[in-house]
Amino acid sequence: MTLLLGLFASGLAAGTLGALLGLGGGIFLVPVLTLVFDLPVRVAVGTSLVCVIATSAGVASLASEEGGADVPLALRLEIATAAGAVIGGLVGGFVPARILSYVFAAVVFGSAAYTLYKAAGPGEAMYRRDYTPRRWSLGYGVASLAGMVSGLLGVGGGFIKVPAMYAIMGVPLGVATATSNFMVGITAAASVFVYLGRGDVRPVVTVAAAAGVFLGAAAGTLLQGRLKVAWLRWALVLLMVAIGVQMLARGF
Amino acid sequence: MRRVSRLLSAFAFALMMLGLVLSFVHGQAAGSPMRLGLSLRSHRLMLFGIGVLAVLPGVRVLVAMSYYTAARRAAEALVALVVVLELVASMITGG
Repeated sequence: MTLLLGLFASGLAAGTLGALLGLGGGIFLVPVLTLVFDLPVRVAVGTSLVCVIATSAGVASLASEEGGADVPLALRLEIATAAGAVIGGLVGGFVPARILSYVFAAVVFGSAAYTLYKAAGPGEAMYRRDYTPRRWSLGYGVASLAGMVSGLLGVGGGFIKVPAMYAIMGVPLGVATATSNFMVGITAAASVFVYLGRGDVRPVVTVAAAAGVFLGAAAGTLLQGRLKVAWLRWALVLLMVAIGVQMLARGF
Repeated sequence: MRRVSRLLSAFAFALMMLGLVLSFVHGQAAGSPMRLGLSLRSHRLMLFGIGVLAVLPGVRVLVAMSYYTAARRAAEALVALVVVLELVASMITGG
């Protein structure tokens, strides 16, 4: 029972963070499931993938009309992400793990710095529909990089996509997080059947965590409309710095 | 698309929770002995729920594709089709 409550609480935290920051939550869940709950990495990744889809579904179900994803943007970027993921998957077998950690950390620190650099004034709106995404070629490039990192390291890449859409393409932060949530659901769905087929998705563990994720995603979606852009941007930057430090530590 | 997401995720969630409650009631989650038939049934329910959840992103892209096709937005419909094909290829070839 304690184990189930622990899994539920982890899912709740991952779902809330995921909905608020446009992440799937895998970057948080996989270490928790392996280090705290002592699950094999494959089972942790399988569970995490289902939870990423649950976050995506929760946000899509509860987001308001104005707070929804920019679906055409998500679909166009998803093509670049998938191509990057294939390249990342192919290259991953030849690159030493230490180098991968450094590349990962460099990408994350770069994204954090650029997000801060592009920080707008206090009157910035979280949701607007009167924007036109710009710098598509750079956006495609970063989306491919997110896919490559995804293929190399087995994460969704939402922490790269959100800053890319927000800081490079000029998409409002709230729309960028919802769009990223839509995209990470597709990315996770592409891999989850492999884990299901191999028996790496353990029903009791997954359902307990996914129940927390559903509730967390609902809480995060409701909270998002009440938060200021500046708070959300700082949360995103702090999370990216924490992830970057973790990856650097893994490399040393 | 939001209606489809709500419907499918509620269905998946209900199946998963029903399976979990069955497992719990019959002692698996508490670590006590459990009848095999009931165990299989609850596991199947949960796995079916997880399966429904797993197809949801693909269904959402299909809904988007049909919407763009009906609205004669050819470029967006084509992009959605490419994503669906990528998704299907990933599922077949193993990610």
